[in-house]
Amino acid sequence: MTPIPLTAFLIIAAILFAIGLYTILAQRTAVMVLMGIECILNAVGLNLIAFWRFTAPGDYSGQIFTIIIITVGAIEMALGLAIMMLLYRNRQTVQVDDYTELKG
Amino acid sequence: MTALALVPLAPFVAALAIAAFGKRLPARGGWLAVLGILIATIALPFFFDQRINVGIEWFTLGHWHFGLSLHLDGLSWALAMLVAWVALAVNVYAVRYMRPEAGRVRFHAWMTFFVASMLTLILAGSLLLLFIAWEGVGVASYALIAQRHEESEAQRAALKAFLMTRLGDFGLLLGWLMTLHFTGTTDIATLLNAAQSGSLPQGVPLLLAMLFLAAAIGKSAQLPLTAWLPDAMAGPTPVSALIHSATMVAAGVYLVTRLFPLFAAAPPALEVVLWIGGVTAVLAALAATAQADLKRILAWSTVSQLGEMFIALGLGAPIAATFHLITHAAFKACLFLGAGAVERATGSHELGQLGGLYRRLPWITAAFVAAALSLAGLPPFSGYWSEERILAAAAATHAGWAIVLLVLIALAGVYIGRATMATFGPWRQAPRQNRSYKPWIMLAPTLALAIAALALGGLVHQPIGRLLPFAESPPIADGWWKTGAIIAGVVGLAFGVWRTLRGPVPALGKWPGVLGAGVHRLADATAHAALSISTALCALERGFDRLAQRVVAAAWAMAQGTRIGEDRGLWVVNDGFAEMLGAAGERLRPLESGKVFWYSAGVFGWTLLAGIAITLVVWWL
Amino acid sequence: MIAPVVEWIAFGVFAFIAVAGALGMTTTMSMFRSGIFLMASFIGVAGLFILLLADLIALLQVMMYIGGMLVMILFMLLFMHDPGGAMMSTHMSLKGPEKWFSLGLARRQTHGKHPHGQHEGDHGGHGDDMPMQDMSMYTAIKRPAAILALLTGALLIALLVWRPHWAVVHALPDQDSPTRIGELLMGKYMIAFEGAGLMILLGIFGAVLVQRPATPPPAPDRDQLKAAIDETPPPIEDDTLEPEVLDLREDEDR
Repeated sequence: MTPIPLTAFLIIAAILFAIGLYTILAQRTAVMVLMGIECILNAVGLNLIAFWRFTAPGDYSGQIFTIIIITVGAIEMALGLAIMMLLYRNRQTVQVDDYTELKG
Repeated sequence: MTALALVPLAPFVAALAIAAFGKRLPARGGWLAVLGILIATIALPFFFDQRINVGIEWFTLGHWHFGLSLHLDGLSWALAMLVAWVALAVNVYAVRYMRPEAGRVRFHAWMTFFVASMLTLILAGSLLLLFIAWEGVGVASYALIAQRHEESEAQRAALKAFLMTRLGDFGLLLGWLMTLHFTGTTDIATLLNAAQSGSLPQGVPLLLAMLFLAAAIGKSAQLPLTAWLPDAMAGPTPVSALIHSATMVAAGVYLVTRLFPLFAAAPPALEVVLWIGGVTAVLAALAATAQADLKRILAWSTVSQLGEMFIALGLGAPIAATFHLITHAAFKACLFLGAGAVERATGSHELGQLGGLYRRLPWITAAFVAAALSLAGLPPFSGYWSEERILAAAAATHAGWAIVLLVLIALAGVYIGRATMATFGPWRQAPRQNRSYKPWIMLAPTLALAIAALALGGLVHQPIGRLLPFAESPPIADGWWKTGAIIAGVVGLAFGVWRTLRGPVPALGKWPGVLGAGVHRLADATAHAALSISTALCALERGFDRLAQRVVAAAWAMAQGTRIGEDRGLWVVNDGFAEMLGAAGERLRPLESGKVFWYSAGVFGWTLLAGIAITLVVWWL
Repeated sequence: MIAPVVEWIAFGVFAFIAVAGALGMTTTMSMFRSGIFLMASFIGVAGLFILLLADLIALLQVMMYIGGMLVMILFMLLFMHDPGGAMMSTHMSLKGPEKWFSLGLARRQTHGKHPHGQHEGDHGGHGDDMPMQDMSMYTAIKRPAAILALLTGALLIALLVWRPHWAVVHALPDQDSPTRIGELLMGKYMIAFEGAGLMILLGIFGAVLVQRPATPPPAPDRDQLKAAIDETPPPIEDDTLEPEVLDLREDEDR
């Protein structure tokens, strides 16, 4: 049995989540926002695997979830790239706070 | 046997189809009209000698049952056959006749609708359905008289016809409402049974009979509601042939015949029928001798013949009346179709402009002459047989009425001989509009009707007594009266022809023309009387009006008050509320910064706050 | 079985790589460095996965994230203004981790000018309109965001420490995890697996579709539409609901 408790992994995941959150909120560039999202997804994956390992090691469903999350992350990144290029072509900028069409 | 409903429904569907798609149909729907009527015509013989009573209860109001039902017996079968066949002939004729005119879709649609309504009227087993159909034929008659609506004369005539028949229709309306009141249903058979068994209260049969008689007078153009029929000749000739001579105007006679047990239960009503018929017949026949217009002669003649049918009814001989109705429909429709052909060939139906047409229109002439001889009552033409029956009934009642009938026969000979002679006689040439005018489509129905006018009377005068659900009328007139009738017809014809040899002057001098004008004036007087009654009612109505005005004014004032209240109270509140919302929106507007990071910060901040709150709550617990 | 000490050391190293990588990703001025730091963070997490005996996931993590996504991120960086962060680090005064993670980026450390846009309050406030103002990497709420993130992390960690009562099972997972995962993917989670595959396909289609050069509507039309949208609606002139004044006397006079 591993000596490292579950809580240690979860704390690492929480820190990653907080950093991703900060990135999403503080960064102006679309790429950086995407990286923040990836960071959060990573934290989620870590959480899932940690819980799988410590609470249900016999059932591999937790790992399946992680795989799905990674897949979704990949798709998200690809679409993000496409959208960003489109935005860049239309507006010549990728700073997310330059898109203020929704301003009331 | 709900298949009976097919008979009126086929023309009705055809009418709807013509109204909807007439523009795209051959002959503007004329042939579809013929088809719809043909279905009814073919279907009817299968119902020969059947007793059918089908119907539905439309709705019930308290203990009043409103039913719609069809009723078939010998009488309605015979008349439905008549209507269907005459309508078939006239509609075939009309396809060609209407070709040069505008508004043919309208014409054919209304014509077919009329046939449907007329068949419904005849087959109706409930007074309610009869009333609906009665109004239906009235509307169709109105629309068809006004077919050439660009002529103000036609407009006026249509209006006149509509209003004057409406006067009578009140009788029918009140009649069936009172029937409903007394018997609880609108069923005709129930009413007749009640009338025959005497279960109606004292005087009610008379009242009902008088009301229905008013309706019959209006439809059949009897005095005092006569004047609309000659004016109705402003419509196209097929309309005159079908509606204003053969079928619709006979609806009044049919109504009385249908309700004959009711009338028989109220002898004074029969007296009234007799006298109205007699006076009308004589006056109209006299007026017909002085007319200068072919169609008007025929119209007055129709009034006169209808009067004869009323005489027969009044004498208690419904079989004779029905028989005469049938034969009259055949020969009068034939006469009208002939007049229409003359009109198309020469462009006129003024006697002064016609003449010498026997060379140009030999077949039409033959048909017209045959029908005219039938009208004059010469044997063996059909008019002879039916008039002989009426004469027999008259002779059995009182010799005076028989003499009146002889006079009528003579007068019929006079006016129709004059008309025939002036139109087709050999001395003058009519203006040539169409040099050779003999389209077979118009010729064939005319000739068919002429053959009917020739032979129908002789064929059916024996079986009709068995067919109709009435007791056999008095025996055939004895030899003297029969001979007298033939002599009267011949003398009348000869006189009419002789008077016209030198031109179409009034046959009996000018005074019958004055008589006709007098009838018109009488109609006007009736109208005026009705008007003054309504004026008197108007005062009452004005009282109601004033009351209503007070109510309205009060309501208006209340509405004004409410409005002021709205202005001062509600609207201020509403406006304030709206302004408050607007101001709040303005305040909230900066929140919609359009900056993505603000939105995500909101989401996460909210999540954080919620998480802290939940944690605190859980911890505190 | 490895000794617990070794395991703890491994955990400490991987956790440090993951957290430091993430921190560096978010604080450095250079976006290129951000990408590299993110890769480091992924590798750290992959190490943690291995510690958790999820070998396949660790492998996938490295292959997918580092092999695929980071390449994409680096492509994206090509569109960026100043991906290297040289201008940024040159013109801004950096503190703490920002300074530390951005070491060696600045061209001239001696510029001495404090540019604007470092913090939210400074935006356009100094009257010195250098184009730099718009170039800041950070949004206006950088400091509140930091506080929010700190609070969130603190809350999460506090919860974790306060209530560590998980139903921990003392069992070891199957050593042959790839086989088990494969069986699950092809069996129980078939639909989810196929759905993910379909989603990838649709994602590819979507990306291609979005990327197609679009033809904007012709200019006059667009102007008209814009004018029509911007136009203020005409004021309501008369209230049709206002009832007409009835003239009740009219009828009587006739």
